Amino acid sequence: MKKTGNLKKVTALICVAVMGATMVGCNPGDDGPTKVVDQTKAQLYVSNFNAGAGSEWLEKAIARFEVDYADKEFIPGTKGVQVWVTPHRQGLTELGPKMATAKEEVYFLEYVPYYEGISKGYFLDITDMVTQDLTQYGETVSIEDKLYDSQVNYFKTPEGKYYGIPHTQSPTLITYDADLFDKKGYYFGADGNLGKKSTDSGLSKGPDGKSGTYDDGLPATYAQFYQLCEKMKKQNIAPLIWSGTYPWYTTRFARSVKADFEGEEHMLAYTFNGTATHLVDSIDAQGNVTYKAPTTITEENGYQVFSSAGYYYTYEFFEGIYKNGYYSNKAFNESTTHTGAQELFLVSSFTSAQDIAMLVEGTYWVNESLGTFDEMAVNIDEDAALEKRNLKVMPLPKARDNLVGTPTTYVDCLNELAFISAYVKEEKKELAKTFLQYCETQKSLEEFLQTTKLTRCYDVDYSNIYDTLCPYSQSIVDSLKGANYLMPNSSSEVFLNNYTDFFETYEFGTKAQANPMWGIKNGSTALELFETMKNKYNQNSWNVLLGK
Amino acid sequence: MAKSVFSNKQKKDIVFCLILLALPLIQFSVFYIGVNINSFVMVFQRYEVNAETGIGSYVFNGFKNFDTMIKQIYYDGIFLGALKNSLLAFVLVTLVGVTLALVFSLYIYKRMPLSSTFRVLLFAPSILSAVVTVTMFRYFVEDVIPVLFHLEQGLLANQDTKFGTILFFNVWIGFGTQVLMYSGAMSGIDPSITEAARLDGAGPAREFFSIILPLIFPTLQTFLVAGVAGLFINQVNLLEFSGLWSEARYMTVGYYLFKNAQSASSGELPLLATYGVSLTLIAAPLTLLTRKLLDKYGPSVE
Repeated sequence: MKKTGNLKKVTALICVAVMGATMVGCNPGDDGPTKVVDQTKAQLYVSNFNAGAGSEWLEKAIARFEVDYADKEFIPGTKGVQVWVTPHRQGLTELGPKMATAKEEVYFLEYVPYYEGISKGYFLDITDMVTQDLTQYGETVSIEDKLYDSQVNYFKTPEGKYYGIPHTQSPTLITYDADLFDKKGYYFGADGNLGKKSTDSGLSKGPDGKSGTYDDGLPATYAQFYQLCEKMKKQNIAPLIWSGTYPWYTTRFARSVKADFEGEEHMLAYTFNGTATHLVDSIDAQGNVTYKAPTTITEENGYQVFSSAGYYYTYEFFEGIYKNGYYSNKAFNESTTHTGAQELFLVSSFTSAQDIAMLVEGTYWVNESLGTFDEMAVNIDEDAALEKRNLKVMPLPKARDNLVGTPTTYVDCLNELAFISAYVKEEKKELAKTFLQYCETQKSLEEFLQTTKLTRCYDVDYSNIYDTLCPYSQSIVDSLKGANYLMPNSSSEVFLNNYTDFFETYEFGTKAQANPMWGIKNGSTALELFETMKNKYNQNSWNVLLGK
Repeated sequence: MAKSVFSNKQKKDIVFCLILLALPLIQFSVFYIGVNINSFVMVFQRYEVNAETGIGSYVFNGFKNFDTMIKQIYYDGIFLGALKNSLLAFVLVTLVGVTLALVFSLYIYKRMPLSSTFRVLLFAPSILSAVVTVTMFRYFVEDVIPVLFHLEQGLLANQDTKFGTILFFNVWIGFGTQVLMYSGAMSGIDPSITEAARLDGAGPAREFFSIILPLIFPTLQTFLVAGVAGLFINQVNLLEFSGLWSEARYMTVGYYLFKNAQSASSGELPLLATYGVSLTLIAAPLTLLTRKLLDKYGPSVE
């Protein structure tokens, strides 16, 4: 009996010790064991989606904020402020219902259906904070002034209120190995032939149609892109790689291709409000598209936007890549994860494996791969470090010659949002707004870019820090300069009531296939995929979505 | 002063029981009863956003959601494909899986060579998380099989073999628990019964069908009834294989509903609730009927 009693005590002690061990160093946030709560300071809690951009940028901003506001009395009886971060990987669907009782007040999230969040009453009205000039930080503009025009349309509700502001900028594009391009002469000359290096004179004008810009020598059209890939293939270099485990990486890329072709009109597929000028009347055997007369799109006839030529040109671009074999043999392998594809791309230049020239990824991928860069620099070659790699974002080639020089349009792929919880205590509103505003100052935006290698989603000038950036970040800044940026979401009733259905459509999904690249691989032609998309809805099936 | 009905010890026992039961009962009430009542109510609602305030709320919508559901099934076509896959998965995974599990269980019960090793090998995948098992399986069929059999692409990358490969995985992963349960039930059979049968001249087949199968039938029946009950929620591990982005042609009803619910807006939830309640109206009587039929026509010890 005694033995049993002792055994129980020992077991209980072990359990307590194990539980205690897991709690050692715990703080209000996950900021590590060095920071402890100081009750004489105001406490602010921040929720951060800890994926592509990570949390380091936030910790840096917090460190500066705590110093800059060390003497500020945000809450009566306190002096200074402490900010705690909760890193996680949850979206609004998971966090929203818990917000009323959560301690977090400021949120930086991915996958946020903005207008859905507003309708649920999750977000605080931050209009004053967004429209106020940032003079106290030595700036003459407001956060609103830093937004792209399309973002103002998106974030500002019809009532003229802001409930959230952008977070990171994350289009899915092509990253190319500029060192390999130079070594192999993969730049186009003005005569349209390959063989140039980036430092040579007489480069072609690139997709923007202008000489002396960042895209000189890069493929301007699909035809030139294929020409480039063909040369790579003949030299036993795999032109492209993407994640085979997660096909949606190429779906997001498809969205980028379509948006770049359609420009602002791409948003019609979300707002169902405006004039469509790219609706297809017919496509001949050579792929020449005849357009319908400009058509007014409303929610009533919204299904017509799915016959936009943007879909066809995207399918056509993918068809050219697949049918000509311009991809790595790991690209469709379901064990090639996104980080696996990044690693294959990065190590290919330093091992006996087949070289891979380009990677299809979100622009945040470099930050995800920082560990791989470091490991490669230590274990393979010190020239493999990020600072020594010449990796760049490639501007999207245009579908046809006559489109060269048309403005570049990028589209967001992660629906990211920064906002303040509607449940924040009255006494903490000023603190929460001040911190969120602080994160959007020029200094903070620049620090974010330097830390994460990618940009926050604001139309600002980075010339002050341009020379301090790695080539990859420089190319992001270059490619975004003068480009339009779209947020794929809207307050349209038919959109909000059928979000999943449109989510599928937006991701190029139909009953026949969920992903354009895999659709092509499975034997469909670009024209067949386009016809499927075009016919996904008719007036009858659209009426079901309208609730009729 | 009236004497208490319960002694102090009894009172303590009751308090102990209540404390022990409180958490699961609260959890059951909130996450089963509460959720299902909410789903049922939602069947007759729609989400409406106030144009002035921008705030949404659920309002009464009569039976309109049933009408929308029927039209959606007709126009969309994805649900019907998913229903077909669910039935196919049930037939293959349940029938093939149960048959093979019985064979392996018999092998173990008869203590054939390496039977203990097989028991461990078959059960091992069941104690790992599905994500881990799927990841290992994925690498095997994508990177190893093509090398061994000189295939151009992996079994998952090839659309012609993908669904079959996923179903195979489900049969394989289901072995562990079933073999453990069946062999456990078999080991409970009194050896004198099988010995007597053998003395009476019963061969192995007769012994299995007339002695072993009837004696373990309650266990088998549980698996079959549970399989029918889970017909519309079985997602055949598609979520682990493809996340929320599976091709429509591989979807089952369970996956279709989960995927749509996962990314649904507030405006879509009433329609999904309508699907859920409608499928329950089919699955519940089907499950009861299956149990009744198995009770009536299943093998008897007599």
